[in-house]
This record gives sequence, C-alpha cells and structure tokens, in this order.
Amino acid sequence: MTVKDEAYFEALMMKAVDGFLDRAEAEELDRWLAANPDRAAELEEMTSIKEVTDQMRQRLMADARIEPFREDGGARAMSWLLFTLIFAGLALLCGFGVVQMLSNPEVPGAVRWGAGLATAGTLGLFARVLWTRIRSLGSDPYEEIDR
Amino acid sequence: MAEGLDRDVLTAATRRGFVAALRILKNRDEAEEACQEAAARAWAARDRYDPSRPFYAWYHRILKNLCLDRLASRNNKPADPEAAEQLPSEATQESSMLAAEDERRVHAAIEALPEDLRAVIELRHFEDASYAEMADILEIPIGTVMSRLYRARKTLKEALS
Repeated sequence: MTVKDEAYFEALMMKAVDGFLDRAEAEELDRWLAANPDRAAELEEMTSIKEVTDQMRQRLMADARIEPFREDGGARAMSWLLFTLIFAGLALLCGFGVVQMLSNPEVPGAVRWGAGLATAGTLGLFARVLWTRIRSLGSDPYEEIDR
Repeated sequence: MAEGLDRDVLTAATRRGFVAALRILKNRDEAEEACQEAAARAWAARDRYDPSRPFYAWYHRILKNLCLDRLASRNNKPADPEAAEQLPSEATQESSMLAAEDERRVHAAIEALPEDLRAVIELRHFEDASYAEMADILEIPIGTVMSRLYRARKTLKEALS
C-alpha cells in the first residue's frame, strides 16, 4: 500500500470520527478497516476521545450566557447623547469658573496661573486624544491581522 | 447587509466562539463579553465581510484578536492559576468522577500538543468548525487540515493510552 493510500484512508478516518462520511466512503472505509484491525482499534479510540471532548464542549456551552445578537443602535445613541450632555455641562461649568477666576484681580496670581496652566493642559490633552481618534477612523485594528 | 450575514448567523457564531474564547481567556465572564463584543464588531464591519469565505472564519479572527487584546491588557500576566483550572474541573460538579477524570486527562493531553496540532483540535472539537472553515482560519489547504487532524488525534490517543 502506498503512502498516498494511507493518507486517503486516514482522511476517511477523520471524516468518520466527525460524522462526515457519505455512504460510499463509509463502505470503502469499512472494507479497509476489516483488512486493518489495528486501524479499526485506532479509529475507535479516536472516536472515544471525540466523545469526551463533545461532552466537555456541551458542558461548557450549557450555561454560557450568550444572548441572541441584536443591534442596539438606540441604546448606543442614547448613551452618546447623555455623555454629550454631561460633558457639555461640565465644560460650561469649568469654563465659566476658570474665566471668572482669571478675570478676578482679587484672586492671587499663583492661583490664576495654576488654573490657566491646568486648563491649557486639559484642553491640550483632549485635543490630542481627539486627534488620535480622528486619525484612527477608517482603520480596523481587527482586519486580517496575523499574530 | 452583507449577503448571507444576518443576526441568526452571527448569534450561532457567537455561541460557537464561546468555548474558543474561554480556552484563551480562562474566564467565563470575560469570554462571554468578548464573544458579544466580537459580534458587535463583526456586525459593524459587515460590509467588509467576503461572503465567498466561511463566515465563522471571519468571526473567529475578530474574536481571537479581541481575546489576545484582552490578554495583553492584563499586562501580559499569566492567567490566574485558579481560573486556568476552570475548564476541566467544572466537570466534577455535574458528571461522574470517571467522566471528570477522562475530561481532565484529555484536557491535559490537548494542552500538551504542539501549537499547530492543538489548533486543529480546538477548532474541530470545541468550535465545531468544518474542514473548510479550519482551512480558512489556519490558511492551509484542506488536505493539510486532514493530515494535521489525523496527527493530532493520533498524538492524543498515544498520550492517553
């Protein structure tokens, strides 16, 4: 028997383990296994291993909380709206407070400088994050990546 | 909507991917989250899905990368050893001790397989991937899938006998 023949029947054995054999293939494999009892025993052991892993899989799947997929566009839009409202409110409050502080001559210079620098740093950081997000738009980090 | 891709297909892929995510992340809650997030990403990017290729292979790639990102976000720390035992030990709760022992031995034998052989076992046995899906995911011909699967099962059989 050639190496090619062995590989062919080994592929049939794999299909048998997985339940993918059609009738003609099953008959062909049965004839070959009858002439190769050691391979028949091998197939039986491989099938047993598959049964054990099937049980493992079923058990792991049994209590998985996988919800049917649904596009939750409404909830996402609502979240964005609420975050925008919160952010806008905070920006107004902080902006007004900082402007008041900077324009008030009674506030010590160190406090005014501190508030100014902190505001400039925050705005700079926000602009940098925004710029990074804008630059990454259109690129999908999960696209055909080999790792 | 991309041809052939609907919510039912995505839900089925999400369920199939759960065990794969669990085996990578070793944490049930994280695996569930990763599956759902991968589904959302696949849905958002559905226009880029090529319907001539198996959908599960595409979803699997997104899910695997997502799981790897989650692992990386743990600062490359190894998985919690207690959580790592979650896969085989869960069997002790509901099945007989004999079955649980079988599962532990099989699990250990699979973990000991070389990477290329373990990949085909995990795809076929735990994700119910077809040979065509496995070929697409692993980027190898179907003939190579079959020969690797045979070698993997033979190695497992020898390890367990």
